[in-house]
Amino acid sequence: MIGWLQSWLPAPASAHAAEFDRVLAAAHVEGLVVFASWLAVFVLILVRFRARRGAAPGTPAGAWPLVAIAAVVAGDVWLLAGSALPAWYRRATPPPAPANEVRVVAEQFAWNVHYPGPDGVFGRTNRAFVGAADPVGIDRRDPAAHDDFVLIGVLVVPEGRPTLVHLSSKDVIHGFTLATMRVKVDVTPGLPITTWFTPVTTGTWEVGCSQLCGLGHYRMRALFEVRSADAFRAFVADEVARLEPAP
Amino acid sequence: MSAIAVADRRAQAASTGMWLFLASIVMFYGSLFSGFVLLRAGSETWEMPWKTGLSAEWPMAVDHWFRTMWIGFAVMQSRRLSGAGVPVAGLPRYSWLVVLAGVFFFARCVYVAGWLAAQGLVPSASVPLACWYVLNGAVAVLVLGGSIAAVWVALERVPPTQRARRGAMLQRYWMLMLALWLITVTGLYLV
Amino acid sequence: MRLSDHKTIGLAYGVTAAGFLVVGFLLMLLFRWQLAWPGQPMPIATAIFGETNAPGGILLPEFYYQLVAMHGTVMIFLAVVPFATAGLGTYLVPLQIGASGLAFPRLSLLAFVVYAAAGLLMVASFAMPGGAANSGWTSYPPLAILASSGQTAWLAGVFLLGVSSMLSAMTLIATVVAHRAPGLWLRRLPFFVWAQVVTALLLLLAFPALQAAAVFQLMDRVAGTSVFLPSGLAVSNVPLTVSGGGNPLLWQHLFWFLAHPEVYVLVLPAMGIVAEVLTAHARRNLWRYGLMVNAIAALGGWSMVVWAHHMLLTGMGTTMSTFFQITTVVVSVPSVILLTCLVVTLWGGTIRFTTAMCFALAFLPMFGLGGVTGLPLGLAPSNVILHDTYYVLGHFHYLVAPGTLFALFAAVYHWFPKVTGRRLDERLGLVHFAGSFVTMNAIFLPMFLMGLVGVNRRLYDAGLQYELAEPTLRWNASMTWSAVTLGVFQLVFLWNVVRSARRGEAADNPWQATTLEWAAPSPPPPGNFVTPPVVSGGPYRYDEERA
Ligand code: HEM
Ligand SMILES: [Cu+2]
Ligand SMILES: [Cu+2]
Repeated sequence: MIGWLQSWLPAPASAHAAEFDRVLAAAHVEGLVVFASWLAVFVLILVRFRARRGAAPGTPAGAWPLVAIAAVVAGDVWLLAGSALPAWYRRATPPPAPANEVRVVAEQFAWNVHYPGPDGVFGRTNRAFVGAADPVGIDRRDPAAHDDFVLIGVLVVPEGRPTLVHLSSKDVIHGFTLATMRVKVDVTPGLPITTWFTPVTTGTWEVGCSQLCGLGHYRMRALFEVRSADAFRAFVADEVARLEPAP
Repeated sequence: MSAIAVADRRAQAASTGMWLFLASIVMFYGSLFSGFVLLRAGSETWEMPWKTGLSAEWPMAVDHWFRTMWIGFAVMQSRRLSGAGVPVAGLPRYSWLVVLAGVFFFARCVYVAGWLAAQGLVPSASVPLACWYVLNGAVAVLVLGGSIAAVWVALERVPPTQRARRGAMLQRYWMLMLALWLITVTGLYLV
Repeated sequence: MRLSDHKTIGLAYGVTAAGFLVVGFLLMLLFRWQLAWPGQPMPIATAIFGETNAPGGILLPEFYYQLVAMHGTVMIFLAVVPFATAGLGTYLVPLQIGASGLAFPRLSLLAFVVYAAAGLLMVASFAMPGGAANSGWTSYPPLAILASSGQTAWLAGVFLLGVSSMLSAMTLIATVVAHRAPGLWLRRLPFFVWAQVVTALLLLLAFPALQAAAVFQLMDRVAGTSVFLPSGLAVSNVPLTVSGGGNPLLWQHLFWFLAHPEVYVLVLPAMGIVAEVLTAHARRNLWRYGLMVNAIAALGGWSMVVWAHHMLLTGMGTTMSTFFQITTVVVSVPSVILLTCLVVTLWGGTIRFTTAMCFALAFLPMFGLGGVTGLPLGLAPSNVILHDTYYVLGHFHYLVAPGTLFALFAAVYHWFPKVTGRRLDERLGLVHFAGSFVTMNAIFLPMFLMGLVGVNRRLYDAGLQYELAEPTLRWNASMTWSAVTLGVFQLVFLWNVVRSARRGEAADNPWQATTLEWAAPSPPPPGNFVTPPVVSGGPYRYDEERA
């Protein structure tokens, strides 16, 4: 069942993906067992008690179905307490430091990615500096901003290290979705939202938007790439080299 | 079924209906109010310019006291209308007093809102102001509804026992109005 | 036929809601075209919908999102809920409790008028500048506040619907409280009546929250306030000229406080219908009537504390999300009890496979599938994978389309003789059933797989832009053809209704049902019962037949 489910799911490529998939599989296994056995009883009843000429009147069922109900409830409790909540709590703790950090600013209909550069510190941003080339509005006067760069619709992260994403939205609610990372969170304007994940394989996938955010919702996707640690360093260096020298 | 049994059933249905109606008003107003509480708890600042502004002309505390009196007055008159259970002839005039109290209350709310708006304190100026207008507006409209109900009670030609029952229901409604108003004042001004 | 007779009002509700069901279905067919053949011109679309919506026959996103939002809105608020609650409830409940009418007939009539007006307003908003509401049936701000004027009509309509359902719920409950036949103790009420009472209570207590939310959103749209708008918003980098300082999540809390109970409003009447049909057509009393009544009451009550499981991914804290995951798992318990009781009821019976019975029986596994798939959605880790994907669409459509709709069909086949004095044709009925059963599953089963693959809902192009959606795209054509075929089978049903109403086999109580409504003549005259009934036992007397 787990294998069959995973053949449909996007590739699990983050550290917690396997555990989340297990919860999904467990829920489906329980659902399937309950539904299949219920269906078996149902069909049996339909066949056995169909109206026939001279069918002998039967007696009502005894108390055995109550046991079945209790079993389902026990299964639910086990699923919640034994599988779902532990997995959820492990995700609720902050990422093990040191994490790679990145800011994602959503707007209709783009994912703008603000990288802190090699110094790992985000420079100040200001709406006054927002323009076509810089949808985030980096204030280049801030010393911390000298090596910051912004890519529209390109999210690149290193493999094997936690990435902490600071999310915000300029306009409406968007849904930040990294299917292969098993990450999905609403980006509600005005709320500080963070999420994190640790990619365990390199690859090229997509960032999706899962909340209806306007007429272009269907095309609000971005490139999402996990590179090896070295390739990631090279990528950062390359982008920084491309920055115009500060005036 | 005997005529008495039919009347009993009618009364029981009316009373049940009234309780349900009040419950849905409680849920409606409660939702508005909890919206206000959530917004207020979530903001660092909560400017209330009207707190001082209006006091220069007519102290706010006095104003609230007066408006509370109007509703209290309506509760008392509708109680008399119900004859406190004993049907009395010639009671419709109390009903008109209830109408009057409600209309005065409503008019005062409109006046205060107009006064604020004239100072530029319109609903769109800030979230606290939006809450102020919505909560006060809801109470004002519901109170006016109480007046309209009272007009109906006054004009309807029904036997005294039945009118007394109407009065009792009217009184229940006005007690809820009193509660809503006090909660509003407490929430907006005192806490 | 008196205007304020409960049968007149109930029928008016039924016919109007059925009309809206057709509207919601047609809206769906339009957007299903676009999903199956994205961007391909639809013949004659320009002629019907105009250049602004469909230039060259191609449905624009502007139009697509109106269609989706209004499909959801029309189906839930204008079609299924009114049919199942005010329609069936107003017609049947007085009969089932042996009453001659409603407690407040004039209020009930008023409720219908308000409902019809609200529905017309919402549907007519397609003609407003910018068209109808296009922010989903959930109308999340800030998007909904930035939307065109159709959203204002939507909000006004929703507010009016709240008024209407409050009036009809009040009437229904007061009728049950005060106008039961002598001897009809609460323990002797048909299960259908219990389902209606619990549903009415839910509507009465939960709808006001959405009305309050609608008032706030109307203020934001019309008076320029910022209740749901945080500071610093900019659209296309142009700052909005509003004060800011509000909170978009407040809407979601108020909305789901109604909308989750609303889901049970869609489902509980269906359970009531199925209970009546199963017992009559299998000659069995309900298995554990008392347990079922307690379960349905618990389900109704508990449904008011699970709302935030729709918001697990809004960044709420773990304490909150744990609380709502627990409440969600708990709410599944009474559902399991009800489903078990319904199927065990059949045990030892003599099941007659009439059309009504087939629909009622099919409800059980369909509802079961919808319920089972709710489990992974209610657990936060798997919710991350499935939230806002086609899996959700599959899940709730199984509950409301092959689920509740099948129960409603069962109700029509079962009570048609009561309303008209004639039976629907069984042969046409079974064709209708078989066709609907196959096509419904052909539409909705693939949605689960699409969701697992990761295709998001509310995509104008069915996921053409997404790499991961690629393998699923070609399924859409067969889903759309199934939807069209489903429509064709409904024409069979329509024909059956029209023909049988005039020329069907005359029947007074063809099912030999024992509940009180069948003690009145079919169709019931004004005042319902020739001699006022006096009740001396439970509603179901099928087990006794054998003794
Ligand atoms: C009978 C056949 C039906 C079909 C084939 C159908 C199909 C669909 C599809 C494909 C969508 C997704 C559109 C998208 O996300 O782009 C949808 C949305 C929806 N449907 Fe249905 N539907 C049917 C009946 C119903 C019924 C009976 C109800 C309710 C009682 C319902 C309620 C909804 C709702 C609430 C949405 C979500 C709208 C939104 O995203 O805001 N549907 N339907
Ligand atoms: Cu988006
Ligand atoms: Cu989006």
